[in-house]
Amino acid sequence: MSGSDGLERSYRRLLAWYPADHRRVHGEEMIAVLLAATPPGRRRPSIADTLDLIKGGLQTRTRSGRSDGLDTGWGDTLAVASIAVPALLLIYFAMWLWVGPLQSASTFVVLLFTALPPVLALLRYRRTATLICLVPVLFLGFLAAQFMAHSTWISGQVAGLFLAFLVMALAIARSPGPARGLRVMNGWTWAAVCAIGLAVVIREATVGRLYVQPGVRPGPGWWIIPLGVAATAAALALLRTLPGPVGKRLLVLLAIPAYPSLVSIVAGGYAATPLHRMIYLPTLAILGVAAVRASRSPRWSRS
Amino acid sequence: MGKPQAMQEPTFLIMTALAGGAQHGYGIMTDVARISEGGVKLRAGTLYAALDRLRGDGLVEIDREEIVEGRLRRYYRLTRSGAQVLADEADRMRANASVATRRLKGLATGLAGGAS
Repeated sequence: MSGSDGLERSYRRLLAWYPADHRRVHGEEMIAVLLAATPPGRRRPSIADTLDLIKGGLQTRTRSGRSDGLDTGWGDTLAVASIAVPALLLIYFAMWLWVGPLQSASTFVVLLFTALPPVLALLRYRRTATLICLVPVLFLGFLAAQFMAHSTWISGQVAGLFLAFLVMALAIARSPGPARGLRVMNGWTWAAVCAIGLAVVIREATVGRLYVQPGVRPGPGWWIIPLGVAATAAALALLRTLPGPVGKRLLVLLAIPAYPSLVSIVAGGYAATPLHRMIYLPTLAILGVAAVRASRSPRWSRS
Repeated sequence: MGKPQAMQEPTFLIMTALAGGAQHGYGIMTDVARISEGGVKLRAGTLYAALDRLRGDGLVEIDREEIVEGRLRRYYRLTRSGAQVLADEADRMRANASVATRRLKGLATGLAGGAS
């Protein structure tokens, strides 16, 4: 074994102080930097380097909830959401082109408001992208408030879309952006996102259509089983294909807009009890927590 | 969101190094030593902890990756918001230095007056 091999092995042993996810992303790169920075002839890591790596590894392990690299933190979760949420919405709105409430030019306007923000964010016009997201947020928020104030009917669709655009705005405004999200996602992640989108589309195109017929209010039926199975499979796929805690956190974010629809389905579209009128509260609480966590991510890093 | 905290020196120097263009890890370490005239010697653990946080905050991003002599070399660059944050920090430091300089001149004048 040569001296440099022994040195490399020592460095690799020290990198064990870092989480496996971190090693997978940065391990080889750090080894290259450590070897390049080591004076010729040295066979073992210096005490200073040893302590620095131990400190760095421990800091990385204890820095849960902070954005720190490809695999951890809300930064990557929001980055994935900044591309996955508009993708889901595009699949959903594309369905409106042949079935659904808006089979007109309005659909193209909605598609535009959905597709434009991630594209602009990719082109580094993040502020403009966020502002465009806020247009449907305000419109849908107004509609939702009208429903809450004047109708016994609760629209899981309006509430869900309102929250989806709100999550999208937050993700674009506060994350490293869709470009980073694209790097974190792989083909299987895309397949899972598309599966979720298609499950929603199939539900809307079949059972959802009944809601627009006068007097028809179908409650939960047999279709909820395949829908649940598909949603569970897609959720597991997201957990498996996204690194570290990103998958779990993305599911939390996706649950925010999904929750009102679920309540609406269970309630059969009507606010049968006053409790159903509180449709937004749990989901807004989750969104609030996510926003606070994201805003606490320090704008200026401290090393 | 409250007022951003002052950036610590290693972070400032890393971002300053990247303000000159995309660099890989070892390049950043040597550039930081050059910028600080040897005053700050970054080590790999500190560097990557800082880079992780800067990337997480969207201030730094990966420019490209290369394989050089069988080793992965990843280049980093400042994002637009990273450049803005660095510019703001440089302005803040300049303003603080200006106040310090002005007061030191006043102090020197006072000391000279007291001595005479």
